[in-house]
Amino acid sequence: MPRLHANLLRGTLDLLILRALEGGRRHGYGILEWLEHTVAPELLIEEGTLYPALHRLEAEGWIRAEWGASENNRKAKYYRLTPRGTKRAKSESSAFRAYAEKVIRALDEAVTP
Amino acid sequence: MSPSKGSRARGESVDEREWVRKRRDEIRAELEDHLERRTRALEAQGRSPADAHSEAVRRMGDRERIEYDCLRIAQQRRVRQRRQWLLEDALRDVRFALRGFRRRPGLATGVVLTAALAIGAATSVFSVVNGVLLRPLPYPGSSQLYSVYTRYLPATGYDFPYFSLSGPEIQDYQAMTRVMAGVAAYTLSSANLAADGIEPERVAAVRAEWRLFDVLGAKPGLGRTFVEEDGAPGAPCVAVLSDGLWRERFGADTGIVHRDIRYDGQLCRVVGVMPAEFVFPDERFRVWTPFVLDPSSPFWERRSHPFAAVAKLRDGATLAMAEAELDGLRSQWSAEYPDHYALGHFIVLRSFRLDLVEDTRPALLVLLGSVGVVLLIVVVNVAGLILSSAESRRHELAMRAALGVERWRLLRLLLTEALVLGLFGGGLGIIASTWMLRAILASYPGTFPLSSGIMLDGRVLAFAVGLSILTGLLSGAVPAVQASRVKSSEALRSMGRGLTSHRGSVRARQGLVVAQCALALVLSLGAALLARSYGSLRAVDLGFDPEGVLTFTVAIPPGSHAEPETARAIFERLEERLAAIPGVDAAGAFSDLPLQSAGAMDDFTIEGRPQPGPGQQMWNAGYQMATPGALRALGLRLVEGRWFDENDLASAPLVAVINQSTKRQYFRGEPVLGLRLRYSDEPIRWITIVGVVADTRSAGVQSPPAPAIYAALAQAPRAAYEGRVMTFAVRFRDDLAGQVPLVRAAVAEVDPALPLFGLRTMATIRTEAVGQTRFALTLMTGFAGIALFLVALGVYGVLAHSVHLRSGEIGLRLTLGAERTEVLRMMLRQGMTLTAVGIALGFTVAVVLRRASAGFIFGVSLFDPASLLLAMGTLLAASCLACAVPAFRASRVDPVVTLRSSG
Repeated sequence: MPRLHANLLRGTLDLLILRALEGGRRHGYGILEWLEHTVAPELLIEEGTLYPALHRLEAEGWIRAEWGASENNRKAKYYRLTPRGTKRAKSESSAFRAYAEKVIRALDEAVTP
Repeated sequence: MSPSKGSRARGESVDEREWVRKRRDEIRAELEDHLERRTRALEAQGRSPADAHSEAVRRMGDRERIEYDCLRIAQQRRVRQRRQWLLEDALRDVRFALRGFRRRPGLATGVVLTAALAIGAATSVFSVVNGVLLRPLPYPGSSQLYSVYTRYLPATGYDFPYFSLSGPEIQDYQAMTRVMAGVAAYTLSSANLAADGIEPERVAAVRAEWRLFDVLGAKPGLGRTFVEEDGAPGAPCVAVLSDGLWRERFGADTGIVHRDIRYDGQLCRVVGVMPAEFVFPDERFRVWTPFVLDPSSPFWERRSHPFAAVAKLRDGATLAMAEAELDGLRSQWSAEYPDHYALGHFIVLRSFRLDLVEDTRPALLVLLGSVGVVLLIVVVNVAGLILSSAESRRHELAMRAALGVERWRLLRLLLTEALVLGLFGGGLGIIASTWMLRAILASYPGTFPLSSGIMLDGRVLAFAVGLSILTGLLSGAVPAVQASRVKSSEALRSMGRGLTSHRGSVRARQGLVVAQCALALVLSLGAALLARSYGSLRAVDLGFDPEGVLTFTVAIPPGSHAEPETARAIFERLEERLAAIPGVDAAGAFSDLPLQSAGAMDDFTIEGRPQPGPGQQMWNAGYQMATPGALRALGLRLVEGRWFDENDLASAPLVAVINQSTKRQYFRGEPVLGLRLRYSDEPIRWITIVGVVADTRSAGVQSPPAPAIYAALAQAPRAAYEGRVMTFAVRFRDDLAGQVPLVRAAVAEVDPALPLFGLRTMATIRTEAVGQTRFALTLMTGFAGIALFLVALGVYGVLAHSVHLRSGEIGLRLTLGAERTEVLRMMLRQGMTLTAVGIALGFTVAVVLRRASAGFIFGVSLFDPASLLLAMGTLLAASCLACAVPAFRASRVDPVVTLRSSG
């Protein structure tokens, strides 16, 4: 499968992160893992994109961070949705779905000049 | 809601670097955790630990870059949030303050009103100061304009710091200066103005060299100003009119340009109209005509000083450069004309603006100072009010402290309260200042110089707002610091025990009252000294009797009657006609009226005495002409000999009357009747002294009398003084009211085309002569009144508070057999002690400041005991009155009630 253009990915990353947290709190690596497993392993979202995005979403109040102990009792940072973030995840999911369907239809349809 | 909830632990005290380090550590830990998890995941896929780790590191890429990006996001967020918090906190404090005011409306109203009073007064005074002393003049580069004067040091026999110039002096200066862009000579006079369809009017006029407008950099509103040809000898007469004259007399008709008017009887073409804001040299002057410095004129000599001049510095030149240049001129003159300049007579410069405002400046500065003192008193007063409110909120504040509100937040809260009050007061004060300004303008004698600049402009507004903030901050500072010092433990201790007072705050309030008394004493003392000075000014022996005298001036220019004899004959007829008005006691005319001008100062010589040589004091006196009726009309006192009579005609021997100063100064009191004197411009005309009159205050009430010599108008012994402008004095036996039409009719009967102008009573002239002092006195009395009122409030507040606090103790005293009068006395003593300390302190301050008002003090010592007693007495009385109510209340304390409640 050919690589997706980075621009296309960046536009949906926020939504995907929010979606990843809908099931409960996750740490950064967990989100990455979820993305690789659920969306596509070959998407290869880089840490250099993911962490700034997480921090930005946190600064804007969509998600909030908390420190907890990791499985081997080290400090780990967990993210969870704020109520605002939950709301946004819901509304943006349906908006994106409607948009994506149109994009797919456009891709499927024969283009006549 | 309490404001403490909003106090977030935002770590402002933590060092910025510390914060960054912490954030970076967090980000690192997060990324470290990420690497570890990835490594473990890879190991689970069967990679070796070393391989797994390096793969995890490889996948993460540029770690420092990630750290940096995340840190930037955190920092931006922090800045945004801080800004928002700051605003929210400020708004919350303001809302809290406003809520507090609703709970204590009395306090808030009191503070706002007193602050409004003081800020309003200060703003109105500053509006005047700004317009008169600060705003630029309506010319470009007006700060570069200087008036040019000659200065005579006393060694010359004269003592004139700023005297007019002679023609040759101006010409020399114009020829040599490299520092001045231009020097223009002018003279001030008045002229009879007439035109088709308008009534003849006497207007104040400037005759100036054609370059005047260029030197000023002033452009006309209509037509043109002067050009060089206008200044050529024999050029046709042209005139430039002021905007005011153009509007009032010519209905703002733009067709006025190129029309002819009659200017002192001579046809003159109007070439331009100046814009409304143009003023030169002050608002009174309404016509400008060109003249030429004429070396062939009989007055063209270094001794004759008829001209004023204004000069403008070149761009980049400084006053110091101009003065250095004048030093050169001075030594050149001393070398060329040693007789004339060796003694200390030279050209000096003075800022043109200072020139315009010099009469008003001292009064304005004294007022600005006084209003500043009032403002200080208000600050102290407001501080006291806030302190007492903080006092009663002590418990609340202590509770807050106990709940962990930081001290600086309490401080900020209290300061915000004071600031909000100050701004409210300032807003109200700005509104009030427009009224106060009107009152100031109304109490000023005449109009302020540069009065068109007196308005509420940006600078005045900024001043008022700044003052409001300052008032708020200053008055909030003491109570805020005091109150924020409460200890949380105190709140718990005082729980349920009602109010306990804090010794520190009582002392602070007493200190504030003492400060108020001191400041009020300074003001009252100033007002009392001014009042006494005004009294002495009114009591000065003017040398004549101003009551019941109407005065006006009549001018007969050569344009209407070429021969001076004809003009003088008209004055004689006028005098006869005026004297014939029923109810008139006497009528006469002077070339210069006392209090207004001493006349031209001229040198004379006495027959049979050697003339003073170079370097010796010249014999010098004001030269005046007068008519036979003038002595009685003005009420001059004849000391010796006789005054002029009908027989002193041009054909009869020339006669003069001298004043006592002349006799004392030049004749050393020897008999003078029959001695003869003469002037250098009429070397063969000897004038015989026939009488001596009492001195008059010629140059103003405060200026000591100067030597004067009177000549008979009918004889006009010096050709240079034709006597074409004479001021009449008409003494009425009874009331002056209703007499003006009779006087006008009499003048019209003699010549209907003669305008009479400056119609005023002598009493008015005298009032105006002391106008500056009266103005300063009126306002300062007002300020002192405000100060006393505020002090009374302050004393009342402290004492009432003290009675409240000590009611238990008083109750106990009464139970133990103290007399009620004793209690009364005790409380009064407390108030009076504070006042007395304040008075002592204020007196010290007054001694330090006494120089400030020295210019206004006339005829009394700066330590005038009567003024001091008056000021102290008023202050003590006000404070005693303020003490009386709480003291009386203290003596009425019911011991049973107070003992029960405090037990």
